[in-house]
Amino acid sequence: MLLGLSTILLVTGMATAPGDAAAGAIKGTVVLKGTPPELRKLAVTIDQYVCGKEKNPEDLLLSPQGGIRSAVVWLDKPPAVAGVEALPTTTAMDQKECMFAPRVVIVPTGGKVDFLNSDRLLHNLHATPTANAAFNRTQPKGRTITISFSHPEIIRVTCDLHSWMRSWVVVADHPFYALTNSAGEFELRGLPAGRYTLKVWQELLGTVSRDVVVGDQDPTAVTVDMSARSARPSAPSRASAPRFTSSCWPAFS
Amino acid sequence: MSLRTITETARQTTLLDQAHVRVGWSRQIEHALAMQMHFSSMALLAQSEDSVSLILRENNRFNDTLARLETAAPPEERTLIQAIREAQDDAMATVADIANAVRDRRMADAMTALRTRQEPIYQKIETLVGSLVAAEDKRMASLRTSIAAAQGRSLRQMAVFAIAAVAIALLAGFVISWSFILPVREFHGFLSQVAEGRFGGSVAVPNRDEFGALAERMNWMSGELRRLDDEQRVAAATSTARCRRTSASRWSTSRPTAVTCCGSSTTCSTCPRSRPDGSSSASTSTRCRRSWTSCTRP
Repeated sequence: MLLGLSTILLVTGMATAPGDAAAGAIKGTVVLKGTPPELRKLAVTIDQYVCGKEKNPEDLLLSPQGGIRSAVVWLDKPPAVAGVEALPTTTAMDQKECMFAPRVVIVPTGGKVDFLNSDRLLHNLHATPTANAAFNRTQPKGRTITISFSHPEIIRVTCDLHSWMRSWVVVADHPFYALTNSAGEFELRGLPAGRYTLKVWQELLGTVSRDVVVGDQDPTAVTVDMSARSARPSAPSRASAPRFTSSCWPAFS
Repeated sequence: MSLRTITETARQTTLLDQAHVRVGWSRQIEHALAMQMHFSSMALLAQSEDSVSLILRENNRFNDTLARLETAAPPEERTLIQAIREAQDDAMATVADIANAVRDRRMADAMTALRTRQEPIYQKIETLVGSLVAAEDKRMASLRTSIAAAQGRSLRQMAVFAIAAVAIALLAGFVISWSFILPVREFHGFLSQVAEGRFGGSVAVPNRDEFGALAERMNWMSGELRRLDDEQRVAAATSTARCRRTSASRWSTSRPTAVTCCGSSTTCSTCPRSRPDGSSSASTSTRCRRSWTSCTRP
């Protein structure tokens, strides 16, 4: 499924304000190059009155121009600058119609994620991170469960009751993290001029690195091609992702 | 009326089927409820994730079935189902608390939640579901009675229709058959008259169908026969008179002549020469001889 895929990482730098060493910014777009993967809907056979009968796999969401949504971009070795806008310490992640929304969130170390449940059924948050504490919480409708994350890590969160549900919490150890929007665009601000290594992670395509030079005046434009061959998948592939079937639930008798 | 009865019966049968499905769902809810209680107890005993997940699955199954029931329920049952739904929301929160307590090894909390919250809620839900099942059973019984009555009406109407249909068929057969028999009888009488030589009669068939046309042609034929017969009679009389005159004349002048009148009275033919007394050697038919005799007597 993933063979033959390729992506392009487009990173367009923009100039920082003249005379302000920490006012530079990187503004770019992450796009997929090549033929997009076939969209195969996931069959839903339980709790259809809330979850629907099928779900779109959201592990790789693309804009019409090929922009990749919900990719995480950060600087590998961030500069030590003061006054940079910090990431919000608390982020919310809802469970609506048996899907996490948003699918990927970024929190700083020590930050919290408020997991909500807007569905009129039970969900079960389950994650087994390596650096942070594991959690396995059952959640009724309307209840918010807050989880704190103290160590930088990319954590996969699932629902034990609905196997297609999956989300990611990216715990950031510095403020130079960004999440691409629906067009695949991102922005990192408050950077002093210099040479940086930009890292981009996407749950299906893995992680890629790219050196970026941020100027003190002019925007820095960087285009990075990223293909499936260069990707190092850190997330389960679509083919290996568990597919919910009726066998997951015992037949009612 | 019969169509209306059939339509009404079909509608009630559909309602009965839907009620039966809802009763099935209600039974499933009861079953899921019992299974939740069972798995909750098992989770407290086993203190394992597997037993906890079984509680959660049963609870979601309860939710799913209740949602289907809520969608399909008639308006008069919505209030009851809403009460079940509210109780189920409490039960869902309690189940989550028990599950999390078991995972956290807070067994005393789990036990307390089970005894003080879950059991009363489940008893309440069980009572509500029982009321729902009873309401559906009552509805089904009413529908069955109604369907049975409708079927009885339908049977009676069918019987009446069958009898009426047979009577109409017999009457129609009688009328249709006599509409054939009467003209045929007329024709029979008419043709008997013709066969007896009584021409000029007519047949009275006022039909506007093929019988009427046939009668018209027969009447025309009868007239033609009468006309021809009259002409024939006139011709015969004329011929007979002429023959007699001829025979008398010839007999008086030359007796041996063989001119005679043969046949009935309308034709004259020449017989072999012979005497009127039949002493001729020629072969003469008896008929001719009779005619000769007849002819020779003016």
